[in-house]
Amino acid sequence: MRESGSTTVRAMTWARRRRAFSRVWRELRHDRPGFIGLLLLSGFGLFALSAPLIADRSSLLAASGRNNPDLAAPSSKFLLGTDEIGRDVLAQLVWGSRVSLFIGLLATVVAVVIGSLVGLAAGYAKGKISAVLLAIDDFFLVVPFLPLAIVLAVILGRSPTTLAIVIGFTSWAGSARLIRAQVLTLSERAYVERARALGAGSWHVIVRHVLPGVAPLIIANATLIVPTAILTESTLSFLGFGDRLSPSWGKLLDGAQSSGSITINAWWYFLPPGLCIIGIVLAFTLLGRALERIFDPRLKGR
Amino acid sequence: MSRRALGFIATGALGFGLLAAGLATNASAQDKLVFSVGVTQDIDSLNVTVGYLVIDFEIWNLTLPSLTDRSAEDFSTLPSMAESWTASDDGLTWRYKLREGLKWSDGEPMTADDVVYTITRAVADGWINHRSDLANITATAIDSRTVQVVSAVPDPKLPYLGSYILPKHVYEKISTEEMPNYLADDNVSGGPFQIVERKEGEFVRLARNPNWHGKKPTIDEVVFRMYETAEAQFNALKAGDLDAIDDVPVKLFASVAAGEVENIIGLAGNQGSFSELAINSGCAKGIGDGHVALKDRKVRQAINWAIDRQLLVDKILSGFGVPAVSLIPSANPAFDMKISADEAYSYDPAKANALLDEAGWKDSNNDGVRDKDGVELKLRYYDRSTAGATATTPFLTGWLKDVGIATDVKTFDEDSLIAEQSKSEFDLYTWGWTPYVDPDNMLSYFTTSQVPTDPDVGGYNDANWCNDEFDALYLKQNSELDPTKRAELIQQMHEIFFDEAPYAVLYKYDNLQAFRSDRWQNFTRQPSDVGPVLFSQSSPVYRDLEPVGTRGGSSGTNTMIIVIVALVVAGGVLVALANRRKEDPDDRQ
Repeated sequence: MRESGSTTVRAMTWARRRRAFSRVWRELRHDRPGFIGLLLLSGFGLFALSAPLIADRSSLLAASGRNNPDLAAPSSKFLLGTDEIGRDVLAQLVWGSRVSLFIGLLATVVAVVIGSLVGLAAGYAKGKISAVLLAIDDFFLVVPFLPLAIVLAVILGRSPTTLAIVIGFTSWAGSARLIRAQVLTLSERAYVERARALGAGSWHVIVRHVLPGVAPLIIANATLIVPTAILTESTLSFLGFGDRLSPSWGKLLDGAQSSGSITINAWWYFLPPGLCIIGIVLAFTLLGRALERIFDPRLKGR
Repeated sequence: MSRRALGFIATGALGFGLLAAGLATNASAQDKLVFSVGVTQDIDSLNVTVGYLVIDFEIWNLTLPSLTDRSAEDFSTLPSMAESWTASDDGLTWRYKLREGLKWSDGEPMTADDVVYTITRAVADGWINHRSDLANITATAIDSRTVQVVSAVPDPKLPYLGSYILPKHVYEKISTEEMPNYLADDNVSGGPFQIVERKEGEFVRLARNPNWHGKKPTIDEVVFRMYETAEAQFNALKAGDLDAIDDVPVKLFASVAAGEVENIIGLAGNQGSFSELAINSGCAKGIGDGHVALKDRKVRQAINWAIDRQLLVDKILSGFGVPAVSLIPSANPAFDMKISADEAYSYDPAKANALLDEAGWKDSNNDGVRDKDGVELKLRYYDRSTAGATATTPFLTGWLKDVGIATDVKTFDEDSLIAEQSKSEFDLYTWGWTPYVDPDNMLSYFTTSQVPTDPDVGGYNDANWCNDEFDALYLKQNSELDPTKRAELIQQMHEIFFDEAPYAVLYKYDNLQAFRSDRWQNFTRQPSDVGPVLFSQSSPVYRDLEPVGTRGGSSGTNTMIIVIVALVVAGGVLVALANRRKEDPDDRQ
């Protein structure tokens, strides 16, 4: 009977996962806000990927505006006009989407990894370890987030990677709380107790039983951290604490503001990055909320 | 519209009404003539022995007296504390006669003692802002109204003696050890204004000093307000919260200059302010850890050839400035370096590459960055977080990369940047200077004596560069009384500075300032016609300003209009709310 194969434990697991995935996909397709979020997000993804097709990287260089008029309104040559030193705004917008997305996603990975580890540990291990972890978590929850990020950005430097790490490092506290709560309820469930009774060690219980249970929550939560991270990057760049030499959307807004473009109404300079930030934050939020609804049946119908 | 949205508007309008009412009371309570100036630079220190920023000097110009003053027209020497002076035949000894009845703002008499005390102590303690003027000078009091000044060498700057004089009765209580940390919060003034209130990072308020001996200013108060961004400051001027601003973003200034902004005039003034990229030249007598490549003059010259100064002027200054290749030692352009266009540094990457090759820096491992003996030509580039300064960074780092020099950019606020400079622990950094009228100060900054040797003390020689020939010429011009010969010596110093290239001087820029022309007139420029109004050499404008029309009339009307508008809006919203209730009661869940 072994050669039929399809009935091995591994195959059964995969079949179950496939089923779960298609269920999520089906529900997401019927969740209108979530589906719109997904579409928007795909649009931004395509936009970022198409950067080399839309503009050459060299048009990001400061001196690339050499022969262009400064703060020129949109025209057939510059679809979104030029900035205060004659650079193509569209080029910066499209390449900037890569920087913003990169920072947003990397920061989320950092936040989710720290948040999950702390959440799992604090939820599973009780007693002193849990108390200490919770105290650290509380600290990060109450400490004013922006000043902390600014201080870290100043100390650690301003490359996109360090910025992402800084943002991730300052935004994991909420998810740790969430995950801990879920872990607490899960570890009281009968199947976890059964596994323990059968002699499973902590590692086995966490990896095989608890983690799969919190995974959907982690995914939904991560989708909601991305927009915060992108917003934070934009805020830091806008305040002048970002990486001056990478064309992120926040940097574009900073440039528009410091050159006075808002006052002289050069809308093509500040409106597109502003709309892009709003758009991507909206997309991630819609998708994240939809995933939350799908993974957590208790939220359904609300 | 849902109820919540309506409620929000109603609360908003109510708040707005209250705010407007608050403004109205405020306006009626203050009948003083206040001139508000917006600045984007916060005060470094009001202590004249350590401060170094332009805003610090502006406040000292208003609060500290000096023996002589400079005319607004052409910088010629005018009486100030001293009403007259005479020279001995050899020109080394000068006697200054003080005005009668001089008093500090706290009522203490201002006498020859204060002058002698300040000069003697400044020389003994080596105060940074007094050093150049007083280097060779000793002072004695003949009587309470006569100061005798003896210069060890013939001094071309005399009889002008503009060093700030401090109140002896305040400063004698502060020891030499305590001095660098003294906050100068005594508020004792000997100038036209005195500080009455200061909130660090927010504002400084100065009121007229009743004991000031000179022309009585028309305005009662001057307030300097610190703004985070130049644009916020510009909008405050437009809204009428400010009367004058410095540091207008170039693109906005262009729109003001074109007359597109009502009630605001823009004045572009030049007094020799310039920006540069300082290169840590690794003076053997100094400290620090500058990159080894920068000790080689050829590498420093290569950096100079890699830069397109004209493009910087076009793009960053929008033409409100000119390219420069050597330091600008004076507000008077006659002392600028005279060099033909084909000899001066221009944008020539090929030449830069050739010089770097010659110096032995080649890209042997093909990573796009030059190297030599295993050391990469990667430079720490320290950037100043002030708006105008950062604009040059993407240009300069791009051009350096083009010739195989990598940079690692870090941004600092001005204080932290100076801390790094005092240790000489940098490779490149962006800064700028506004020179005095006499070229001596600016030239003195590049002598060996100003190279930082102690991080706590620092020094003005921010290229960490020393050159014996330059030092010798400095001393020579310092005692040359013949103006033509002195100018020649200064040109020789320029040639050394140009050739040695401790700086990549970028451009000389105009100070872009804007004013409420509907409220004020008599914007005195120094020097006349071409100089700036604010942050000039001796700040005469605050004594000359006159209001336009009747006092505060327009602002009162504005406030009334705001109140009326707010009441109308609030009323309208209330009516709308009431109507809504009548129309569909179901909506109010």
